[in-house]
Amino acid sequence: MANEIKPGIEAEEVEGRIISFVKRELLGPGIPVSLDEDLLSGGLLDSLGALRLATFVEGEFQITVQPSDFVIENFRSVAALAEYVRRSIGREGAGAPDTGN
Amino acid sequence: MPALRLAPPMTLAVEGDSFGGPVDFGWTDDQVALRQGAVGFASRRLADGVIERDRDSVFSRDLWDACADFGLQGILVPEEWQGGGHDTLSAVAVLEGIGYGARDNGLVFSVASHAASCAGPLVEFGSEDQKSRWLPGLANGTSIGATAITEPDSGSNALALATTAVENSGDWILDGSKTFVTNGPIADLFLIYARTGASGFGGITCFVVPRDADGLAVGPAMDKMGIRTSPISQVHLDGCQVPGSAILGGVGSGAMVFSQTMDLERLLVMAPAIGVMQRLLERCVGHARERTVGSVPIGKQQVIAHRIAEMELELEAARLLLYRAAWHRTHSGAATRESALAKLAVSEAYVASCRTAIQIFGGYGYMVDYELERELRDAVAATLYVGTSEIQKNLIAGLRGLG
Ligand SMILES: Cc1cc2nc3c(=O)[nH]c(=O)nc-3n(C[C@H](O)[C@H](O)[C@H](O)COP(=O)(O)OP(=O)(O)OC[C@H]3O[C@@H](n4cnc5c(N)ncnc54)[C@H](O)[C@@H]3O)c2cc1C
Repeated sequence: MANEIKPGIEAEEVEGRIISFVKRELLGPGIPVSLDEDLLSGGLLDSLGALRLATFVEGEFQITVQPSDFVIENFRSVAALAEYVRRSIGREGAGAPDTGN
Repeated sequence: MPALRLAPPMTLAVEGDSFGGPVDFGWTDDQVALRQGAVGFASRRLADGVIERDRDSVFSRDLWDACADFGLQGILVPEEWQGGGHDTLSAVAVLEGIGYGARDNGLVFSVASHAASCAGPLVEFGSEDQKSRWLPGLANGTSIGATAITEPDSGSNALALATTAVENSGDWILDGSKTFVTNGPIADLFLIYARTGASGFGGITCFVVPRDADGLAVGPAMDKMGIRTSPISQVHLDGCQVPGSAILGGVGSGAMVFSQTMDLERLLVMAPAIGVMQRLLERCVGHARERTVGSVPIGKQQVIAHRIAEMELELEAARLLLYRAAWHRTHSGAATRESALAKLAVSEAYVASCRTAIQIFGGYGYMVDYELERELRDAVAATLYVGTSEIQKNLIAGLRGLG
């Protein structure tokens, strides 16, 4: 049975959604990225890329990335970011997403 | 009537922020009172003697202390560390009031930089030890803070910095030179960004370095065009040794600390500019009604009246962008896009507004005693510090995947 952590979001698909954004928007087609790859020190991501990634997870998973959460531990890899997203959803509560309408 | 139809290939993004993001325009009674209090304090204490201090590039420690007693330096610092514990939106309201009442834009810039770029990141990213050690002094103004990222060879490309920090038995040794450090000549505490090894964006670390650290030397105050009551200098690091406990936000998090700090600083240093523009608008309206040339008030000339209308338009548009960004940062977390838009709009409107004011005052506007030429000199810096206007545009477009 699917483990829904928020309406429409299953715990297992967080990594997949992040990876497809990173590939599509940040790295460009054909550049592989693995779950544990160091995105920041490895030079894969620049500062704008990290900001776009933060904006993406805010919108995609309806969470708020607080300034103090914008640190390397949370953004180092896809796996770390997915873990952070799941923690944030847990912290902020799994209520219905605010569509902003 | 035909129904309004969209052509089939057209797709619209209807995510939360597609229409500018959420906002609540209401101020609480407390925020209104804070802003009024700030206007009163600034017009009583920060409006006199500025012509002389500007001419002689004098930073007034007395007035700095008065600002600290009023609570400006510690505005964002939680109460447990002797601050006012206010949020970004309230701080913006207060600093807008300060800008309106004060004429010493340089001193206000020094205070806002201290609160946003030194105390701010310590509140946000500091360990408990760092907070209890540094925040009380920064909040009560006995300690002056500065931030140093810019280097002679990196400038707008701030993260391409060359200053290094190398680990040595748990300590870190910093080497390099920083330039344009606001408050440098008077600062007791510096946040210094250095490269800690890796070449990427994750290879930068922020260090909290007291002025008396061995190997840290502050250069002489640099003479400048405007905000002359805010001292600025180079800072040199020559084998400057700091303990591991000086790291703010973790090894490799420097670029992220910097990015969040810039978001905050864009709002806090631009808030006083809104107050200044409001003051200039009121002066221009008064002058346009009173100044008669050939027995006609100049405000009767449509060209003058329209200029004032444009000043008001630019002021209100910039003000709303600033409020919205501050609201966003207070209620919805990180606000890079919003703060870049606000910074760009406020700084450009600020310069335009000063130019218009001088034009409306004619030759009087060019005279030092009228205190408008200084406003223009002060305003120009706003399009340069905390990222130039070009860099704000790069950021705004870059967040859309462009450029
Ligand atoms: C009053 C004042 C206070 C300051 N306070 C501090 C402080 O406290 N701490 C600190 O670290 N720094 C501080 N600075 C430094 C400030 O952040 C830099 O001046 C600014 O980032 C620009 O760098 P630069 O002066 O080397 O100009 P450059 O980077 O050499 O830029 C020159 C011109 O080229 C443009 N340009 C450069 N790169 C690009 C690009 N990629 N795309 C488009 N245009 C580009 C710029 O917009 C500018 O017009 C301060 C500066 C001033 C004027």
